[in-house]
Amino acid sequence: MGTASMISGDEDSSFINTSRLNIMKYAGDGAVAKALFEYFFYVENDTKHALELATSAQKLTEKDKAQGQGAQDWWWSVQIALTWLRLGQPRTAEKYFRQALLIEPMLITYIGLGKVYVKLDQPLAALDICQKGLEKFPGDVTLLTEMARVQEGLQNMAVSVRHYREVLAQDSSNIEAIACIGMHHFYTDQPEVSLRFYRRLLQMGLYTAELFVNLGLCCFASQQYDMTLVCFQRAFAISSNENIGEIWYNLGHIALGLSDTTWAGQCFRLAIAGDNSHAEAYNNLGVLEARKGRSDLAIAFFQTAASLAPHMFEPFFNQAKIADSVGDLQNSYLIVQKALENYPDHADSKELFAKLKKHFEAL
Amino acid sequence: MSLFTLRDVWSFHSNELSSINFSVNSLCVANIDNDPSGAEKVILGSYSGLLRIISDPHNDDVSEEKNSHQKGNLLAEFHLGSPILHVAVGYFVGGSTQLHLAVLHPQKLGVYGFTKLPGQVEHGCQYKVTLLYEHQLKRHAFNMCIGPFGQTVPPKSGSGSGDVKNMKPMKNRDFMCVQSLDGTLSFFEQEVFSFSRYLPQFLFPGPIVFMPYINSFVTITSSWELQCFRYSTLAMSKDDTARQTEDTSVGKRLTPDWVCSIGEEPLGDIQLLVHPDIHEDFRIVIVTFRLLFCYSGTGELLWCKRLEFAATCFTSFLNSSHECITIVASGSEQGALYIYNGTSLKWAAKLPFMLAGISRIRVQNVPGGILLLSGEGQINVSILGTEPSLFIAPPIQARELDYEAAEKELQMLRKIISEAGEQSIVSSKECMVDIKVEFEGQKTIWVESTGLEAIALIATIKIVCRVRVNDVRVTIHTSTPIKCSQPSVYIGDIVGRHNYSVEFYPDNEAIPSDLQCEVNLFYLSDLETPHFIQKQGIKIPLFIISKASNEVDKQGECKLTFAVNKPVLDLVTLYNDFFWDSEANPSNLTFILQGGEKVTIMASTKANTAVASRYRIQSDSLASIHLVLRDFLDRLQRKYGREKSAFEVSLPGHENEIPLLNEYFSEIDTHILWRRRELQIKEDVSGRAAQLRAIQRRLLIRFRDKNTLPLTQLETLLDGSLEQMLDSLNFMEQNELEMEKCECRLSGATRLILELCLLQSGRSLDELSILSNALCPYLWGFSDESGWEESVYAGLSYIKTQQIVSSPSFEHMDPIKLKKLIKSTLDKFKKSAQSLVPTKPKDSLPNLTEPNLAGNEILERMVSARSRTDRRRNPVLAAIHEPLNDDTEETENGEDKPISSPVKEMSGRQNDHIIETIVENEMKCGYQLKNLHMTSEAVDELITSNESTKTPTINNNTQVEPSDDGFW
Repeated sequence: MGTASMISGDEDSSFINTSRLNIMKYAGDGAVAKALFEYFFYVENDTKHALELATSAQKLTEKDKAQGQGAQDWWWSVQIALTWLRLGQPRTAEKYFRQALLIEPMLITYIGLGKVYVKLDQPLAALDICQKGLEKFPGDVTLLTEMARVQEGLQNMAVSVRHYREVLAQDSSNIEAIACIGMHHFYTDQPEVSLRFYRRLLQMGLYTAELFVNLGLCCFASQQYDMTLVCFQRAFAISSNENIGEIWYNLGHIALGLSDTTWAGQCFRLAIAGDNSHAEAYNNLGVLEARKGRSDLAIAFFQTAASLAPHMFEPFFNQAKIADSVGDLQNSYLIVQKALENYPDHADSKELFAKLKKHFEAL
Repeated sequence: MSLFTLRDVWSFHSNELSSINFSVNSLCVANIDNDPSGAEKVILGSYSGLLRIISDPHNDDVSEEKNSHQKGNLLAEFHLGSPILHVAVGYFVGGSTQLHLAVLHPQKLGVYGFTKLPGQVEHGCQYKVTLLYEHQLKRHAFNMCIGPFGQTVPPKSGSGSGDVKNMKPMKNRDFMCVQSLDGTLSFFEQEVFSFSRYLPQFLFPGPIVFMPYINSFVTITSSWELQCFRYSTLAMSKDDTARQTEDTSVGKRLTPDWVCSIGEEPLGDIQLLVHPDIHEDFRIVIVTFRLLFCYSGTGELLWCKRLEFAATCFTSFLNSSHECITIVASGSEQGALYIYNGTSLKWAAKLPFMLAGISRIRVQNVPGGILLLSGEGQINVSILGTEPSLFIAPPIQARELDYEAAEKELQMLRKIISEAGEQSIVSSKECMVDIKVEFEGQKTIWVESTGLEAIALIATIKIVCRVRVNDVRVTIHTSTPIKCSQPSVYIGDIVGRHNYSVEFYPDNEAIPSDLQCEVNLFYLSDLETPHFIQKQGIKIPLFIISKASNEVDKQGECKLTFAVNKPVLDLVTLYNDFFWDSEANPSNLTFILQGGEKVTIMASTKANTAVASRYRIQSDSLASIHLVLRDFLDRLQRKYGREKSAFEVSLPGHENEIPLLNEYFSEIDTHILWRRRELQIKEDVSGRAAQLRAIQRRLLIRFRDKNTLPLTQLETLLDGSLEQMLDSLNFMEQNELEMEKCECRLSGATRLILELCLLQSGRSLDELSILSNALCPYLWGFSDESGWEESVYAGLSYIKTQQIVSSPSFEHMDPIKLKKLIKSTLDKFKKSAQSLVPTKPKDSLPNLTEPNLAGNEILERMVSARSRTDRRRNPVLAAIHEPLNDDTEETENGEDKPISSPVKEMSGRQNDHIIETIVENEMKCGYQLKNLHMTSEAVDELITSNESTKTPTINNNTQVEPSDDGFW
């Protein structure tokens, strides 16, 4: 291996020549093995060698244990699990995490196991393991955040927000928790409360365009109109190419709220100029065109929106509605079904569907 | 992220240049001058060798304003000559209750006394540092720890005063333990060196701390484990005191008392918290870059906290209610100080600089001051104030908005927008890309046996685009047998123009049904929307398949006469792109087609007026007539297209019937004949393949058998049937070639009939399209189950009855019925003024495709194109089981001679050979077969007769393969 002083003058040559190392030799050297593993895993991104090293090191510690000296190290099990996770084998990773838990329950193991279950799309198992982790490490922020995220993914916003509140009890300056609770309040029609959370973030020194957009929207929703445009101005001042589309899109909503459809249309167009795969902006442009009575143009927008974001139900419903209004019942019937596929409980879609169904049955 | 900042009480800057002159160990806070007031001083040792003693300015100058920010008092500054690695304060001098200072240099350990002398003049005082004793170190030191080692247990003999047990043990005597870079711990009992020990498995020195009361050392090894060694173990394992010097250390292997894996590299410090009442209750606090651990004195993990920032240094203490308070400094860009009670965050404050060390200090005798040390030696003593560090976003614009000017600008912009008009975002029909095919030259590719040379036409594909287009792909589709050298070309992105050349050439001698080709162009626009341009009806010149002939041939069976309402033309000038003899008759021209067929076009010499002329085309097949007629009409169109009165073509003499219908029917008959032959051949092939498989299976059974059996001439049978199979397949190939020619002819004939219908009825092309769809002039893309005839039958009967009739299968198709149907439909088309299919109200038709969607259209076209190109073919041969040839068979065959076999025996080697040939042939055959002289029944008999002689083994084998569906 050699030391840093032995590196040849060549700047490009790697610090350690991975392929020429005798992995078995270093796996047995307790003082070097862990650092060498981290070098493989994090610096060289050589997962294969890292796994080989970790596996042989673990075998050696097991052998030591069998001979009555030394103890098994949870660390190697966790690292093997991490390499398997990086290699895309969450099932194997789960096995090793479990093994590590048996040796010694550590925080990192619970976090890793939670990640494995999220990856395996088993949110309930993830919640369960996080809960077990919390029994061992009460009030741990990382585990609570993970649980809150999983619950948010499961659409249990109330539980998610409860977990975020627990996070805040532990760490009152956790940005993620503050932002998520703020968002929850915004969508549950309490923009004033939401505004307080976002203001707290601003006071803490967060200075991003997204925050200003959220502040602007909250101000608008809580009728503090004077602040709205100032917030958006600030957002534009610090926007980047990545988020400028979103800012214009949100400003378009403000314009819609002020019933200035021309302005709104211009905002949505600028949103598309900023991010030409912004499906929501296409959809809203389509609605504006439909209001002007240009159904061909509107349908073109809806189709674009639907092709960009097949998960959205709005473009389908809008399209179906236009088709229904121009008498193209067959198409309307087909498209509204797509909308219902995406969002089975959408009342308007259901109504339209029932109406068309009745109509066809009557024929 | 913090709401508050630290409030500075006093600060000091030691003005050292390098930023790495101080570390965690350079800092110590103690009442070093043993001042009775107990005011704490800051002792700072730098790597440059300077030792500084700094005190709180408020202690001395009471008169000054308390709240103002002050500079610290530098009480003393000494240069010790070599770098200072570690400073520590303790009771290092025996018999003294005064605090002294231990200073660790790389090569020595010095203990200094610090005394305050009253000033000689009226105010102020002088400080003096005196070296009390020093140890020269043999090894390079790294750090040290101090403590009353070994004093709660009864002291060993020779370790000094024995009465410490009765007193408060640690107040009086502190020993020193120096860790060197190679992992040796050297123990000094004040002025005396006691012993040194190697740490096991050592690479780098880590932080080390002594736990009093339980007399243990805790260190973190480079394998990232927290290890605890008992002092007694360290001391006891020295076995030979005689040899024990500072240079060498001998002894048995040192084993730690307990080990905990922390799994991350620690920061250079371990904090030890001792409960003031319960002495055995230790807390060991460690911070790694991402985690904060708290262990008990027995190595039990009490709690653990994941940090969301990279920590640089920390300090820890127990508060009045014995909770563990940890202050961690973040090393991120916006440095902050986090104060945790256990694992929950209690306070966060912004840091003024990056920290190298942190400590608690009493400010004006009140605990709660935090001492911050930077790498350059900046010292700040601060308290956690509630002064908010509110973030104030920078202003966006310096000037006020001029609303009037803005309003004007807005008006102007609106005007510009409205002038620009609405951009249509609907996919515009007008294409941004234009494609052209230009024929530029020709070359001979081969010479036919008839002496005709096949030529290839060189064409240039020109693509002109007005905007940038991406991912351009051009496909060219031609009628069989004309081929394009590059039917599909991927060009990539184009800006402006792109030209490339392709060649068109006839692939075989069949008569093409049509000389038109179709060019399709796919591209993605800048908005990533796919577009598709189709250019149909590009004419490939006639001379690609024909030559001018000098002999006028009037023998053609099929004749077509038609009249044109224009004066008669000089045919030689009309066909000026052919090489005619100089004396060629301008009214009779003959073309020789690729296959040797001749087509003659004649202009009538009589009955020609200024407003009418008659022509006749004569040939053996309808397809060739179609070619020439189409070409002739195109030429007329080109010649007369610009004149005012459009030229008209009529078919004199055929007012009541479609001309050439009988010839057309005979073409259909030929086609049916070929199709029947094809079916027959396929049946043959499958029968023979089954037979071949049966023989192979029998052979394999024979070879797999452990007892050698005579082959009973099965190998001859195999060879024979394989040969027949190959013959049959060759035959099939030939038939396919003929079939293709026939399809070309029928396709051409159908086109001609459609053309004539159009000429005769004078209807529009749209109306013809219904008929054209029913008659399917494009013959390729039909499957065996549903061929052209079935499709035409179904189509025409729908036109006739307006009902979807399932057409009879090909075997039961009556050609006469089909012909009748064709005739009646054509008549109907010609005579009745109505459309063939009454148009239905459009919206009642189920229309499943989405309108206006370019992508879908492409998809549909692609699907139909794929179905056209993909001719389904039934697999003729099924795969056979993999032959098994064990080595055991071979040896047994060798030893065991067949006893009563009248058949020639074969050695194992030959057996192998046969198996190989079977496998090879199996692979070779693909899908191709012929007449077998021996019927399958005969084979059957042969096999069963063999079976009867060797019953037991055969039965065995048939049980092995019960799933075989052969013919036994």
